[in-house]
Amino acid sequence: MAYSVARSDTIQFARAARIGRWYDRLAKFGVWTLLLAGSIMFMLPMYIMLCVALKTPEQVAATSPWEWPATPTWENFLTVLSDPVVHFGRLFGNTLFLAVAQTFGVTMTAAMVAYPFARLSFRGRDRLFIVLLGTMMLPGAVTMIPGYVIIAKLGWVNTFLPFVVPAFFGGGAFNVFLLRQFFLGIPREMDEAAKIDGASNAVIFWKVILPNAGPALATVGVFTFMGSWRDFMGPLLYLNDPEKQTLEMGLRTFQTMQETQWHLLMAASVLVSLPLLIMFLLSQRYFVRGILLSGGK
Amino acid sequence: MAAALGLLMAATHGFATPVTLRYIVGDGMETLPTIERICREFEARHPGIKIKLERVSEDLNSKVLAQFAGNVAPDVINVWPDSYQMLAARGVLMPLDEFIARTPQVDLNLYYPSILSLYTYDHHLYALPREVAPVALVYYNKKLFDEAGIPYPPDDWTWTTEERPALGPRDFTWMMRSLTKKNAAGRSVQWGFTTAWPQLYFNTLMLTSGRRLWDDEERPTKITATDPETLRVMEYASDTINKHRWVPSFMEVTNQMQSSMRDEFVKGRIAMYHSGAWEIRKFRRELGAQGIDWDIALFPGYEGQPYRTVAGGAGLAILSSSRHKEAAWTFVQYMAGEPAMRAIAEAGFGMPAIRRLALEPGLWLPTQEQLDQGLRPSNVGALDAAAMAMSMDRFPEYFRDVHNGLQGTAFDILSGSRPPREHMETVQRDGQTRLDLALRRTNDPPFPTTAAWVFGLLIVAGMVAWVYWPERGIAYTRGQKKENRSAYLFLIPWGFGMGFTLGPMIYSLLMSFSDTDLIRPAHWVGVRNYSDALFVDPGFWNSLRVTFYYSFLSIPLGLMTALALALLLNQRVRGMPIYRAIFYIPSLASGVATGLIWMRVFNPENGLLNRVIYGADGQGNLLGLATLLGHLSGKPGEPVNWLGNEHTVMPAFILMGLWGAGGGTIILLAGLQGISQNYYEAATLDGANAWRRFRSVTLPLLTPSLFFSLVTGIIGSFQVFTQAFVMTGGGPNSATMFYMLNVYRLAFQSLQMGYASALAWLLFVIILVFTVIQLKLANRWVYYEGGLK
Repeated sequence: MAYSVARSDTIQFARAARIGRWYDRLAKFGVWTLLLAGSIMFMLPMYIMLCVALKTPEQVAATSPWEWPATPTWENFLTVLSDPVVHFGRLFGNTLFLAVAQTFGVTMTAAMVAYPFARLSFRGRDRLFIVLLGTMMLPGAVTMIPGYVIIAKLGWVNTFLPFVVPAFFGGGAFNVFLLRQFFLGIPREMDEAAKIDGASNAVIFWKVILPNAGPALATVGVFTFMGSWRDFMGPLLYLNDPEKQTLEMGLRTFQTMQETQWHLLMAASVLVSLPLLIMFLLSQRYFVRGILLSGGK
Repeated sequence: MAAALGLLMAATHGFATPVTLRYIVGDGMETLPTIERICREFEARHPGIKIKLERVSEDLNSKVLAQFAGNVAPDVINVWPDSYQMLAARGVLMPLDEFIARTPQVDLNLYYPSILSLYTYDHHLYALPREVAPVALVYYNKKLFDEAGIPYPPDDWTWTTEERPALGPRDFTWMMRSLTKKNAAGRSVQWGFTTAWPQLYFNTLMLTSGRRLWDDEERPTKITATDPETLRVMEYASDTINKHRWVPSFMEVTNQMQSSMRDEFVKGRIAMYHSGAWEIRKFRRELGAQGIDWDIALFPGYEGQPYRTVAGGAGLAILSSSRHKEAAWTFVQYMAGEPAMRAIAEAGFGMPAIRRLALEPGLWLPTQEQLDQGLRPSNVGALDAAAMAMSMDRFPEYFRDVHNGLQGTAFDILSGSRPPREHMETVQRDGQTRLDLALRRTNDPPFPTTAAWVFGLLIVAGMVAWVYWPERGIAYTRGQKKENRSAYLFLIPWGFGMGFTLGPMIYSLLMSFSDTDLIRPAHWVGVRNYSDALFVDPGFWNSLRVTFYYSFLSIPLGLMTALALALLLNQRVRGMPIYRAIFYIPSLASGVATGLIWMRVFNPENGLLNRVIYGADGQGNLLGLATLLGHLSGKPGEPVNWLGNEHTVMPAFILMGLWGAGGGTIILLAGLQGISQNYYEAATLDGANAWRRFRSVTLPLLTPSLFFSLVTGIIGSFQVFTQAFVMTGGGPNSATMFYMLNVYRLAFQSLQMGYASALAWLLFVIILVFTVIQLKLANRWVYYEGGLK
């Protein structure tokens, strides 16, 4: 009796499993279809950009927007790169320098500021933390105008200083907050052990906290890098000298010059976007893990 | 001996330190090489002076104003007769009278008197004109005239708001009508007349008929947009386009035909084309290539009014902040002198401002020989007459913003979206409101700087007290003191950072009670900036409406898309990292590039989106979308012009925003992966199906991530700037004048820094209110595992 029940159970289970597998396959297929359709939709604008960038103006006028050029031309890129007014090479150097300097400054000092808020007790800590969170809500518009006045009074307009120097000033409330949350998750036992060994707070920060905060630091770093690369309003306000501008500004200048020359505009857009793409693909593994770990809470 | 030595030293000193002058131009790209060459020639003749040529693509005047406020202004700039006053009135430019008085080589009598008078402000000459560019030439296609059997435009033609058939070709309106050809369906296949850009049509009609939109030149106090006479001119302008269809609609040509008015003229679809002399060079080539014979006529005057033409032409001005004024004057003399004018005229870019050169055959004008060979234009007298008649409406500086606003809204009448009278009533109302505001600003007390400093310091002291007062009595052990010290060492960068945040915050708070452009002394206005924003300025409410419209649609849609994508990307499928990258990449594309790509996608004629909706033949109706969009845009039957139509531009921006939903996806994905599998297993054992599992497990546990996305989404939507700046500049009809764009425009283009600061603080309050509401509501729907963190 008991045996037969068990047997019929097994049979039923096997059948259910078979149906389950079938369902699974169907679901997989559905997911796969959706992913593919979504990917195409999300990539279409990019595809258009590349397509137009590889066409001659005649081809742009004569062919449909999604037709891949029969004979792709690289000339547009060369034209853009050798533009006599917008020196893309130079702008690339400027943008890269600013992005690297800001990334370094922000990551470094945000970690420094986050550490005492996460680990040490000091006078006025809790209320200072509220002040920190308060500045997070402050819209950029509020400080934009007086920021310009101060930068102007300091004589920093048309230099890289308004971008580099403030990056070393704590790196922004959001980053401090993110890192502090992450630091809180690092087991305290590790600090205690170092402390018993006679390590100072600086050593603990450097040898214990930072090495264990890799993903979070990467997240802050990549966000900062991307933000710096894409910054438009900053250069618009502070950098007038064509020699000192960034790629985003260069692209804008290019747009106002080449209103209707879409093949050149798109080629320039590809050139400006490509480094970001490479940056993302290189850092993707680390970066995504950082976001997953800090949980976006 | 000593004197000679001193002289020698002075001379060598002069040469040992070459002066570098920064010269900023807003010239088009084509002329730049010529300008550059002239600069190099100048350097060769004046070894002690180097010229650094810079080109600005945004609005040159506001850029220079901001640079002047920041002490980094150039030495010499190009100015235009219609806008240099904003620089002159603020003392940014220096009057040239003194230089001219002691430089006998510069003889003002040689220049066109009209352009000199235009560059005279408050009895001082502020610029030496380089060229004259009256915008009063009517280019006409002789072939189309011959086909219609109509004589070419006579010199003494005129216009009024009524057609006068009795005058025949001497009536401009008659000409327009007679040269328009319509097909059986009543659509124009050939147009009578057009102007190079829409504002020009509007401006020319107003100027020649002697109308303006305000009452007094010296001190305007009333807007007169609805005067019967003015209204009649407006109706005339609108009717010729929208009712009679003698003039093509600008929207139609630029957006649907993907063409420009000049291209349509070259193609022979327009009989008369109104523009400036700079077109001559290209028309010779382009029309010549097609064997089309053409010529020019002066734009007709209004019957009974003195003849005036729309003025143009660059002049050179020196900035009052320049440290090398003498060198700058040397350069200005050269750049606005005979050799440079010759070079520019020979290249065909501009008509010399020195009349003798403008009339010299073979330089700017063709020689008799060339004319005999058929070189156009042959009506060379029109060029000189147009330059002589250049004129402009004057107004005091406080009126400039009002004027710009009037111009910006009034010419929209040409779009024909509303009846002219109704449109002008809006213009009247908004204009008068702006003018009243401007008038009030003219008599305010000076800003109490000392009191403001004290107040600012008090705020800082108050904050410090708030932080430390509760802990005042606590005694510390030695170990705690040490920890305290080391903590504050770590906080040093943040200390500087707070200085850089708190300082500007207080500064902007104080500024918000002032009227200041950072150049002239500030004035105290009390809370008026705030009350004006809330109760008077339609621009504030519009930008708020625009921003809310965007937020209320884009945030929920974006969140739903992000959630759907996150669920999809959380599945176990091979190659998932690649898919994740694909969905994430758009959200990190460069802002300007994104704007450009989407301009391409939204292109009404051959953009991707309209291709999908309307098909390749433009007649399709995918899923009934074409019908729906026709209703939305208010123009059924026409392909929707996404970015050019005020009703569809916001849906377009929202669609573009959804493309960046990948940024939110990654946050939600992180949340999804943080949900323990145990919950799902338990739910499955309890017999919950997939939907039930989603409803009861996934959603509640995902609420913290959703909440985070919502809060950052709201803050982000209030900061939209780059795309609107790049793609639409706030238009059409202010439909994309996002809050930040409005603040930026007011602060750095109109230089109303005080008012813009007040708007920034209002934004802070709005965000604060929203965040507090969010936090209150969060208690009801956000579920934190293990209690509230």
